[in-house]
Amino acid sequence: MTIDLLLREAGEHVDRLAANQRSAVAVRPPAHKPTARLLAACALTVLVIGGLVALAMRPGPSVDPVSPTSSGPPSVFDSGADMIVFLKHGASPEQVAFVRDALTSQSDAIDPSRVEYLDVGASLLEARRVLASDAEFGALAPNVPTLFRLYAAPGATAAQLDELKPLFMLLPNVQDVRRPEDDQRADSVPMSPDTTDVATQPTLAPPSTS
Amino acid sequence: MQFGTFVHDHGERIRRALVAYYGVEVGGEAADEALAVAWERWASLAGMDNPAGYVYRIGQSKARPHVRWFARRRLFPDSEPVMSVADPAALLDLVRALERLSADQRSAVMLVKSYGYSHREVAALLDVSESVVNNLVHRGVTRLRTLLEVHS
Repeated sequence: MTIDLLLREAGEHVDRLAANQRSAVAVRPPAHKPTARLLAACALTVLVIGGLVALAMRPGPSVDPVSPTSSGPPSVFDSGADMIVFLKHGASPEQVAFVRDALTSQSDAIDPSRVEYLDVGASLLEARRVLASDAEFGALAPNVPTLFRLYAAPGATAAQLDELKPLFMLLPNVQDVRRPEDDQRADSVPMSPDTTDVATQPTLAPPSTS
Repeated sequence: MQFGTFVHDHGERIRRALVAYYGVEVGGEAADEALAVAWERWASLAGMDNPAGYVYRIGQSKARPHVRWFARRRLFPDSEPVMSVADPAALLDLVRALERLSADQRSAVMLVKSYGYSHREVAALLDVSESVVNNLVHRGVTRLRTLLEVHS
């Protein structure tokens, strides 16, 4: 068989692979129904709040020595995540899936089995939990960024995660990438660096205690 | 030229070129994004001499940030050919060999030899001279023959 004939067949074969890839993306269902995710997030929030209230009502000190953030103001890193990747508001399911694939591909540093995505509903609840004032929440709510929580893979070093930060920033629809120490260094986390009115940008960071 | 006419005339060629260069996943996604950008900016693109070449370069800029993330994946996923072919094993060997060409050689070889576009059409799309296309195709096919040890 000549190589020219094989090349013509290869063209048809690759065309079909590309068509299959496109149809797979087009019909890929969302991981969960939005309403189900919202209800689950609400239920989870109620459970968490209930647990925190129960802890607060216990006699004696309730400081968790393991979690350095548990005694401070609310933070997006309270879950113990090692990195948060914020996506721009309005990212489509396909775009979210694309970013997820990119994040999970870094299995040397990121635990792919613990990549958690908070959709719009869950992100709103997280913002409500973290933000200090109704004004801040009200400003952020219409354009709340969704987010991925990432956890370090076993054996991964902080340096590996720090190296990934600028690379994750290059991914499409990624608005910001934060590490826990970013919150400790800065008083606020810019949530909308590409929006026009910087002065009124809402933040997800804990309020300054000073 | 209307955008629909442009997509009808050039859309498939742009997609094939990007898929040949970057693989099925990244190339396909980049083609979608490039055509979306072309739609948004069609008023300014329509008057260009070579809008297809411009949209192809948009696709390249869209694809580049993703290349690193898909570096460990196959450009053309392992899949048995669904159409009727004389020698499926030989076809898969060729696809694997295509992955080992340089991206420039692979796109030139596939556009010319697999899809039958002329050197002139490919040169316009890739924004290179016809002699460069000729050179890429010649070297690419020679390397394919070496990789496959096929002598037609």
